[in-house]
Amino acid sequence: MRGKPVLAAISGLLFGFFLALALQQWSVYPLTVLSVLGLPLLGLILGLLLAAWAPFGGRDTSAETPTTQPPAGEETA
Amino acid sequence: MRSRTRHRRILPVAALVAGVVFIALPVGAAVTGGCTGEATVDGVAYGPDNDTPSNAIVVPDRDDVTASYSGEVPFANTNFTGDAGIKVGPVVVKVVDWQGANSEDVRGSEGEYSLSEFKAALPVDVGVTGIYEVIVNHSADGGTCRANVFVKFEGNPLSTPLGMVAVAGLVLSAIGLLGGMFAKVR
Repeated sequence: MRGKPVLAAISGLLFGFFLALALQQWSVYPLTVLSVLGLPLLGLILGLLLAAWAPFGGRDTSAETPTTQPPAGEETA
Repeated sequence: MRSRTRHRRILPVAALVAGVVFIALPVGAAVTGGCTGEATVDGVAYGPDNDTPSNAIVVPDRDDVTASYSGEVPFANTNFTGDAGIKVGPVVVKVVDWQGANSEDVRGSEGEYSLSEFKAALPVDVGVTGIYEVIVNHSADGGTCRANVFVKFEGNPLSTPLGMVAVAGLVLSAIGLLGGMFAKVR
């Protein structure tokens, strides 16, 4: 994971719960098993996916670490 | 590397399970036991057919609203007990209950209720808005009835504590989600 999976997972869980509550308060959908358990579950998955994607912020420099091995077929002087 | 591969396998499976849960659990309703009942709220008649969120019993946001109700059970109604509650996810939060010997076996009931009386009976006037699934159970010596209806309380959710909590929670958790999208600096 490139991002912060724990933060994103917890935030996604809470986002789903509060979305269910907002939908109920705005008379869109009642607090059923579907919304109270399903939306937080989807939020958790969304959080993990967003953390895996992590399009913002620091660069992953580990992939750019220069190799100490010379390219195959070349010899060091 | 192995953990990354494991995540790639788990996430689609979890998404599939969530999708199946959503498809397999539609909102449904029923009246069992043969009981009948109806209510008139602000001049509009409602019955057991008001059992979906899109066809809910509407309670206007005014103090002068009155509701008249009547109900009947088809079985011996002696030694009855019952309760009504609001469904919150997998649990039902009991709001009111009743019981009695009813030695005369009265099988029907009717009356009138005002919304201001209901609000006065609440421990704190927090304001009620939104849509609720109400589950009603009634048992007696002759049988059992169970019904569920949807009740929609009109009003501005931002004027109630629950509505404000919902909005604040949505904003804060969205910020958290955004924070989780920033890559770790190595």
